[in-house]
Amino acid sequence: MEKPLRSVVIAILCVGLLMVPTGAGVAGAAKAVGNLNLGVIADVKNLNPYMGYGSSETFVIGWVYDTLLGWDSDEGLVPGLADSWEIKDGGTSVEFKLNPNAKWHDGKPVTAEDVEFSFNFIREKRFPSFMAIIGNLAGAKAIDKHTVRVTFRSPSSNAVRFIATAPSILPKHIWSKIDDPRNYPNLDNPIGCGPCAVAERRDGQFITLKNLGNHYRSSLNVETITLRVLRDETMGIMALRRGDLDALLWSVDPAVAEEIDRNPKGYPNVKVAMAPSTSVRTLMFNLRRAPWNDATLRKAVSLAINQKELIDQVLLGYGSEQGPGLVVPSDLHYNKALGPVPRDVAKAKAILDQAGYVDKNRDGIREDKNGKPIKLEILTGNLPTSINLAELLVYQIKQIGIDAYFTPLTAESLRNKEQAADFDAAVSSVSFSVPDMMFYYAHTSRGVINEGRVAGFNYGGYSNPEYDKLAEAMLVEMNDQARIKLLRDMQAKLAEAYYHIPLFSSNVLMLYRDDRFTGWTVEPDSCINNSTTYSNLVYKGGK
Amino acid sequence: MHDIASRLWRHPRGRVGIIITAAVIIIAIAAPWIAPYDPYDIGQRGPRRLPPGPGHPLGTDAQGKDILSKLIYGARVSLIVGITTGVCVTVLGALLGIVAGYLGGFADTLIMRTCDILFVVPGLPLMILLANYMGTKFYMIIVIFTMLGWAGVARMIRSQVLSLKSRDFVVASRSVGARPGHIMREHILVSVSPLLIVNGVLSAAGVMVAEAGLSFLGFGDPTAVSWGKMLYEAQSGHALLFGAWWWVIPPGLAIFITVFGFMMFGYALEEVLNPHIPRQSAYSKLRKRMARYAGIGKQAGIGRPGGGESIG
Amino acid sequence: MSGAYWARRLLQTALILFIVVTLNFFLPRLTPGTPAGHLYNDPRLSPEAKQEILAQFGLDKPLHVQYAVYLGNLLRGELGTSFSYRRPVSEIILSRIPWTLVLTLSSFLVSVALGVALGAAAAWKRGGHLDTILLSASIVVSALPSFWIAMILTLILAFYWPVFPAYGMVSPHVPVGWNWAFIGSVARHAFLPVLSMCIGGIVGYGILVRNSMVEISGEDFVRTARAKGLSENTALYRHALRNAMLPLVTRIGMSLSGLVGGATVIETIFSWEGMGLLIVEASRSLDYPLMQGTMLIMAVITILANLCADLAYARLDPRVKLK
Repeated sequence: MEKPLRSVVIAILCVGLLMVPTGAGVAGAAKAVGNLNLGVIADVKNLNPYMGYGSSETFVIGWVYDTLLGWDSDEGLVPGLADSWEIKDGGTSVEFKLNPNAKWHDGKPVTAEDVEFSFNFIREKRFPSFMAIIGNLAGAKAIDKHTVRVTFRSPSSNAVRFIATAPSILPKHIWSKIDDPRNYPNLDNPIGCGPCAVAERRDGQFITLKNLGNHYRSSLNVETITLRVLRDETMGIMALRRGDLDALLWSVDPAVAEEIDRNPKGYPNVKVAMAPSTSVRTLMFNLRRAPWNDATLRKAVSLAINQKELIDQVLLGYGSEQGPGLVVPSDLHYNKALGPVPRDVAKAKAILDQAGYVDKNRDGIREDKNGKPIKLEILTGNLPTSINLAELLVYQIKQIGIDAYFTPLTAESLRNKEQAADFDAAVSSVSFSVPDMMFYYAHTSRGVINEGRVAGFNYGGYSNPEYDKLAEAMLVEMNDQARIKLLRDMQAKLAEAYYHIPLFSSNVLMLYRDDRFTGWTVEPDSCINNSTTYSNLVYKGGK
Repeated sequence: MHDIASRLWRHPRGRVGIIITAAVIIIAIAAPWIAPYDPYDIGQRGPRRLPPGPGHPLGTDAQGKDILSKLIYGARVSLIVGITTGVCVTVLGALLGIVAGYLGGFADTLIMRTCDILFVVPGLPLMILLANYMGTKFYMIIVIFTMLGWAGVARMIRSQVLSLKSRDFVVASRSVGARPGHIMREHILVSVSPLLIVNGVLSAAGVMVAEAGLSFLGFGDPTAVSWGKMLYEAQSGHALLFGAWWWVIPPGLAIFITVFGFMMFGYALEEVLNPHIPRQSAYSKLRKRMARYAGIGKQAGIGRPGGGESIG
Repeated sequence: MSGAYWARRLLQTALILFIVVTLNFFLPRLTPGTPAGHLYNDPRLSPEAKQEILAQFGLDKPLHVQYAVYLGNLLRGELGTSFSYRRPVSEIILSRIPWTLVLTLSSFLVSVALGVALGAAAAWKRGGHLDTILLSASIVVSALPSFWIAMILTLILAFYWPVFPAYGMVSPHVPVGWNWAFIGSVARHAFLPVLSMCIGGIVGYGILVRNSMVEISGEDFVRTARAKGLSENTALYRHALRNAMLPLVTRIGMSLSGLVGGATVIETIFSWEGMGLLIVEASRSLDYPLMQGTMLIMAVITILANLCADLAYARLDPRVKLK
């Protein structure tokens, strides 16, 4: 080819190559439009990615910083800062391949050294929020510019998910210079590699994130996200109604949802998003204390519980009944065979009669094997909904001839009594979305009493060697399908134990407006506050 | 006694005070018979958030309980807490005030310094802490208020005692060889008792407002039906969002009327029992005393019974 | 005012302060529950990990050691770091006090100014209409809980007839700083809270001034002034009012201690980020350093206020001899 033509061809080829999207594409190439206003209750007091824990703080940190992977409720682990990952050495190490286009907000590229630094930083500085994992974290090593290997002391199925999705990756060139990282609030211009940076902040009032538009993966379409701090829920709802806010990022009182559903004209353009939560409210028995160590008695109580009435009265209908496996249907490892057990007062009375718990002296209360009337003290919190729930429980349980009553306590006092194993039964809640929790809440070792305090969260002292074996195997099972099978077996065991009796699972209710932005997507637990929403949100126009 | 009662009745404010106070007490006692529903009975709940109408003259609350019935039963908590605390505070304060004033010396210093500390420590955080520690059942509230409230009474009594100590009848008694206990009981106590009675009544009024305030902040007895708690439920139940004025006005009005009645009664009582004290200074002295007692409430920024502090 | 008196007074004050500081330290720790509870909530934590977290917050050492550390820090003026804010307590308190002062000082000034005017006018025509109204109003108003007034005002003026904002301290879009937009916004937001607070105050001060003046108008020196030929006006305003200052100042002195903590419930209702709300938050979350810091600051202010009140009283009334 002649020289000038060749250079033209080369030039065209180069331009052509530049136009081919690299990797996932420079997303957000379309102009980001719209200012999203979100109402929050908690203030942003601290933007230290390893110390902040308030919901508003984790929200902001999540936009400014990236983690290695993300978690999707349908697919599980999905790419984040890392394009791919591989579990090696029988589960004791994981290798991540980082996306080569990731850049810090100050322009420097993100490399495996930053990841190596971040994990070793966590280990050295002993950040309290990561204490649970530090014990098992052996270290991290950069293999090459974009590959890093994280190693554990012992294999753990959940450890990978935890280290990949919880700790933000920090820029080594900034954080290696910080003297006292545990007390560093990081409020001035935090540098991360996420889609947004902090544009403006007023303590106690609002914080505005600006979409930088050059993220390697995110497809955020809005220009700015502002979190407005509201001290009072009512005022937040009024602000939403007025149009000052686009959504409220907390779960509202069912009464509010009911009001809006009853009276939509009074709340133009305001919608209620309803999502199932992943936690189950339960009545937890103390299996160490007679007569509650008798499963028949506990089974009778569970048959007396009217979940529907509880949902209608306490949640105003915004909830769903739960099965005794204590895992919610939206979780991948849910055991379909363990659906909600219908209430059956006649059966409850029958099994009590059969077991010998009869009301001999005709006072309406059955007596136990020693002739003493059966009393059940239920410990509960002292907020109005807790009291309401307890009143209903007592009312229902009394119908089968057990003298039930409740004692309201502050949250701290309640936890204290649970830890001291000093209770008959307590209103509690469990969330087994993170499967490891099924070990920590029900394994024998977590119910042992040391120096007067229960070692773990198995406050009621459930102890079943078969369950223990299943749970221990589940913790280290790296194959997803095998693990799910183990989890389903564990749920079946729990269902026969009547240790935690399910009361209901509430719905997460969030309010939003659909006039300025569309694309709100509801997912379990997070409701509208999830990454799918933010990827889909598009500004429609309006003030 | 009969003489005092009839004089009270003839006193214009006294009459108002007696009528209101008696009415509230009767309502509280007769609650199970006059209330249309039982707010503690789950089976008697109606539709939620009803505005006033047939069947529920004051509407229903967020759980369907009848507001009028709650109002009537609420009188019990307010009265029990108010009157009992008023009595306890007065008794304790009088005891310590008389001991401090009459015996002087170490007892005096100890008691007075404790008073100083109690005045200085911020009331609300202390109350919250104590409530956390001791529980929030209404008898605990009574104990907490008593612990924080005796100081004002003690100080006032003590200054009265100091002035009485040098009076003729006391000196005479001493010279005859009467024992200190005897003197304190027979002479001093008798002299200050009008003051105590009035103070008791006014303290009760102050405590009712303070208890309402404490319940309003969420620290009251969680199972009891009280006027303050009704206001708390109104606030946290988004009354302002739903425009549910029938949640806000009745309980506050109830508090107001009851406290007003007690105060009328108290002031009239004071004038009747101490006719030689000129009216005005009695007022200002009382204000000061009420302010000191209500110091808890003031420091907590809760109620402002009597006197009306400008701040909080 | 002998030097000996003040020396003793200062010593007593120091003692009280010490006792308050000690109580301040121990009381929060009596309640069941650990302060770093939220950090403990992870069931995967091993006992060693829990110990380490405790150590990080200095909570693992025996109580008397913690106490010594606490005292040492206090002497250096360090109030510790808040558990939940993770910023120095002093910084948090300093950022919140001004907002409380906006409410309390405004309410205070309005109450005193209007109250004195009202009271003087009522005393001027004793037994007249204003006087009777004031006397009746005083009892009515003092039976009204201020937080109820606040709720009703909010219902009326923010819900049914939205004239004033019902929450917050300043509209979010307004830039902070000494500009008219900011001051105006704060003023609008402060209107309802201050109104709720000063209704009682106006009447209270009014009654106080009225009673003092009525008391005094019968006393000797006013009669002397009249005899001297001074006009009634002068007699009233120069002597009576001046002497009515005495109880007024005493009352003001007592109210000073409420400047910082006295608006708690109002702040809760209106979501006003002042000291009152801070105290409630700190107590609820068992944030020890913050709780201790706020209680201490409030105690100190109260003590100082009492001292000032006594000083002013002594200066104003030469009859008082402070032994």
